[in-house]
Amino acid sequence: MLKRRPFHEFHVAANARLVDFAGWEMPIIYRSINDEHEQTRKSGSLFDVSHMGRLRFSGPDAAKFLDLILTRNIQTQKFGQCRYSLVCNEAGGVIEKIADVLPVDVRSLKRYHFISEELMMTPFTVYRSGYTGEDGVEVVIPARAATMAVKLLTGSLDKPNADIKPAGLGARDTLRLEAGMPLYGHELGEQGDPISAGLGWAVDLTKTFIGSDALKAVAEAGPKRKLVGLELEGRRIGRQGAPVVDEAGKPIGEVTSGTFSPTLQKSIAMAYVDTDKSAVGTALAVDLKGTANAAKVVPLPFYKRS
Amino acid sequence: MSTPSDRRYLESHEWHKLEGGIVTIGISQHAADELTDITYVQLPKVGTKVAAKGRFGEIESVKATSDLYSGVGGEVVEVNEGLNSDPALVNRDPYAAGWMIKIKPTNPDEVNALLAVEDYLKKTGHA
Repeated sequence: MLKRRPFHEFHVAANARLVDFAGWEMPIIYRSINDEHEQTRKSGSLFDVSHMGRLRFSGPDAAKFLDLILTRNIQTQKFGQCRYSLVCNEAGGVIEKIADVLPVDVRSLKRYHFISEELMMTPFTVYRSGYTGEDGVEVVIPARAATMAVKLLTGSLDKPNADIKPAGLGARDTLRLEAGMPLYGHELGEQGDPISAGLGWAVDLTKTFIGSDALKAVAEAGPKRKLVGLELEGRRIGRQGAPVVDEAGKPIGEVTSGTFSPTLQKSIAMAYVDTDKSAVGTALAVDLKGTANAAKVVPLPFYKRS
Repeated sequence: MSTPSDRRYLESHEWHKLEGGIVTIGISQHAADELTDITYVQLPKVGTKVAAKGRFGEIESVKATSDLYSGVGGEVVEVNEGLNSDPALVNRDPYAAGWMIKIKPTNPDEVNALLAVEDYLKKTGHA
């Protein structure tokens, strides 16, 4: 039996196709991935992210504890700020990507900040963040208030010209990929490390945390492989696991995610490749079931909000 | 959209329509919906020989890649060039404008041995 989120009835009413996603019944698509993608880029979308865990740490040693497990220095984080951080194992492999937050009550909400308030005795927290490459807010409310909250929104959601429409996991993946944002199980995992993934900005090597010794070694020696953006010739898609080869046909890496970019109308992929083949402009190829499809290294992100 | 009964199907979702000794092949609406937004259809060249139950191409969507099969053996006499520039035709109109190839079958009777619409729907869990 799959776990259902508080928004289940809303998804059914909005004609969602529901799939098993890590044990949760999740909406993958409502109308079409391209349609939902474009709606997000041009206007706005509503994503159900209630499958994601929320943990609260409190007590006198909470900060000390978080400093030991998180790659970023929580002591320098200001109240009201939220930041992406990582949890690593001893070898420096990534176990989890998380957003860490410190509460404060403010009126003006800047990007990567948040507020907690109460409305009709219902506490809620709004984060100005997201994972689509667009500006966004993430709202945390009690499950019991979910139906009411979504009803307040759905009054206008189902109109053809609505500013905001629901979008599913399918569009979420093409959006984050265009924005060059790494996803756990694709670009991130226990086998990889955040330095090679280009997430050095989220790792504070001046402090000690689980995995910091291993990551210092990677930083000093330089990563053997780097995460790069690839643009493939033609319309075929390089999917996760497809080998990346150099001009001589020698395997030098592997695709972690790929799609046909709805915004750019190009076949794009993220891949780990040998560092000496990772410079922007390098001509490579992706092995698509035995056919070498020409590709070149391009800067990440593929898409930047203007 | 209802699944047309004027053609025969493979369990792998390809439809086959025999008209004037030529078999036109495409995929069902169920398959197109399951694939979601189709981004690329790889089709054979005219003149290619295809075996019965043999692979004739590949279809890609934002979500997945899958092989395309022909239920009949024969020679490819025409391919839908329109899919090169607009592969989403398969999503919009899978039973007409989104057709893929036309085959001159070695044995036209092979078509009638394929699944009738009700058997196709039953086998694929859409009945």
